[in-house]
Amino acid sequence: MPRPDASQKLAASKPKDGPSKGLIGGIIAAVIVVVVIVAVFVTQANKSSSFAGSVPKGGTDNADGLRAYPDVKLKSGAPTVDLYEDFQCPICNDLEKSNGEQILKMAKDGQVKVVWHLMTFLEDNFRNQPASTIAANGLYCAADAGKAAEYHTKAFAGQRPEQQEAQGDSFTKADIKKYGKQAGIAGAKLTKFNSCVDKGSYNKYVKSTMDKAGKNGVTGTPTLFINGDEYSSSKHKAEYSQLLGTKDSFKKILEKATK
Amino acid sequence: MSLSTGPSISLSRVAEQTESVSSSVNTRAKWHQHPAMEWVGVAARLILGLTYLVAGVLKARDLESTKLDTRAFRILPYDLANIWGTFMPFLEIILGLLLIAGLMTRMTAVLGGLLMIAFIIGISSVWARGIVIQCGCFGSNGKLPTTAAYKWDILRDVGLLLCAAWLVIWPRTKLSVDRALWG
Repeated sequence: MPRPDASQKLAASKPKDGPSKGLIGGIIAAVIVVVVIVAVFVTQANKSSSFAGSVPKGGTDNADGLRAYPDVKLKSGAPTVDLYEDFQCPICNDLEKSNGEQILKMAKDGQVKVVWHLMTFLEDNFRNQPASTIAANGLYCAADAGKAAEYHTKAFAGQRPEQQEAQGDSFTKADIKKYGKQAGIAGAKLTKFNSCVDKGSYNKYVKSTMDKAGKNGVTGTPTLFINGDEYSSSKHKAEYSQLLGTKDSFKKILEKATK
Repeated sequence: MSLSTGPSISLSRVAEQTESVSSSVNTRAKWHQHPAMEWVGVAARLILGLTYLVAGVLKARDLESTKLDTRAFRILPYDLANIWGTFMPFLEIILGLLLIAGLMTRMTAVLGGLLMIAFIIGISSVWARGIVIQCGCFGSNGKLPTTAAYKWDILRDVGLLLCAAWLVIWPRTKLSVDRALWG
């Protein structure tokens, strides 16, 4: 039996000659390469190697936080507690309500060196820029007036509920000025404080502190380091939970950590 | 089979051969060659493609947070995590668009599948180390976010990986640019 002629069938099932896959692949690869290069440049441009802006009283030359009560003489062997927080962070406010008072009292007595590292990523999360930045800048302005600790308390007391923050209702410059006044800044110092708030005099310091916090490995707030040992939602979870929820638990946890 | 049934054996062999020839031509096609299966491929393309597109757009809208989240995995060093966090959203958008269009489906599905494997490894790694990926701000009613959600994340990503695998094996689907260009 002769084979039937299949040439028509074969022609019908033969793949069509479209544009070459190499060309289309090449175009896509080129687009990806351009995106990578732009991404790398943007990342590099955002990165400043050393800090070259004004430093508030109690701050450091490399913009790595601000010491609470910088004039207080530390008792010998006093541990260092680095505290990473964002004034818009509700859990930071839990920590503040539970232990803020005790932490400040111990810092004032020289029993512990407290260093605040103000972060600002929540204004990105909430999309309410620059609410975190102006609150952090306010702390540095208040530090120059010698009222950082008082301002810190007042600013947390003024924090809005999370829902409001997420809808864009958060710290304004008028709020920050109010907290400065409530913190006890008065007279010529208040005038200077207000102008510092208006001008955002320490915005560079705020930005550098945020970058520095990232480099220090902090990715959430609040995060504490007791003599360099991390307390967060990922490390020392039990103690961390107590710090957030148990009134005046800080002292005991600190003693246990530094024994 | 005994020798006495010789002729019948040869007969049945002939029948067998005829049948196998005809089935390989078209009468009894394999299940994955059924035309309806190309629609499964369309579904796989759209599920994976839309997921990548939406995830990519959400991440690209807020690169600072994406970089922070990438660092929170504590796998890549600081600078590399930032570069990856900046680049990855756009890669996801490109993969998503190509999958939805059905252009270079097999290659895109390979890349999309590899990326999904990377995500599964990343989530497993933070889960194993007890790290909680969150900004420490949401759900602040005295309850901290935990690692409990990771198993669902991994389950979701495995499902998406299966979509990618389907497309790597059977990349030809209905309603695709591939089909329009190359048949």
